[in-house]
Amino acid sequence: MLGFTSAVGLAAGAAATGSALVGLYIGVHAYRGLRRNDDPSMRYLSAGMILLFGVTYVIALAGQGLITLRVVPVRYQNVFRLLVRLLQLTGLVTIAYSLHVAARN
Amino acid sequence: MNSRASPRPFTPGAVRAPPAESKLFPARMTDDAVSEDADLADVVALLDDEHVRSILVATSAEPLSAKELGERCDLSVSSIYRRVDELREFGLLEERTRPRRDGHHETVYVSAFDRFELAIQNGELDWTVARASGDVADELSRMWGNF
Repeated sequence: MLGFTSAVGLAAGAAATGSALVGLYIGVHAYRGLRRNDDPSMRYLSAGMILLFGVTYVIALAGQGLITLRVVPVRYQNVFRLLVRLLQLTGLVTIAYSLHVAARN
Repeated sequence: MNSRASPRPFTPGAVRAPPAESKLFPARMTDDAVSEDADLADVVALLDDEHVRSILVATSAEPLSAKELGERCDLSVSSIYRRVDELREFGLLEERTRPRRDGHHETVYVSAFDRFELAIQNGELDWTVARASGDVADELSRMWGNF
């Protein structure tokens, strides 16, 4: 049973890493789109993707690491969750705003 | 990071020499989609123009309008358009639309050139102009703008 739990945990971690990498790939190309085409909507799309996938991934991973290593008490787990959710929300709002900037152009 | 996606052989608009039995220079475009024949002399003559090379170099880094190209290459806009038309005939330059700050759109150009190869081996002459794929960042900008 422990083996199954570990495998699922590992798969979840791999999927999270994959999401972060693909999200950052899009974010980097959006940033290049900003540089190449001077397109302001790409600034917000890029920032949103990096917040949504890159920053949240690092915060979630760091939080989990700190709690596992008992550097941070386990009761702070929800604080990290809240932080990740808030960053996800900010990222999504930024991406939604980039759509409006694109529509204005 | 290299901004260009990996090059692909010059298919629609491919300029590829025929096999060696064509003897010397009568190399022709093999793709039916390209109506106009291009031979090696035409391609070399085009690339021999310093300003054509400058246009390709500048537009390989970022899309540029004719006016911007004129400023960078120190040429009049009409001279730029003449070279842009030649490059587009060979499929070596692509046209895009870019939104301007004032709300209007302007035409910009992006290089589609990747490399030119000339090989002479074992009594055969072979030449190829390879086109670069479109840039993902430009496609993303365009797609997001169309949303």
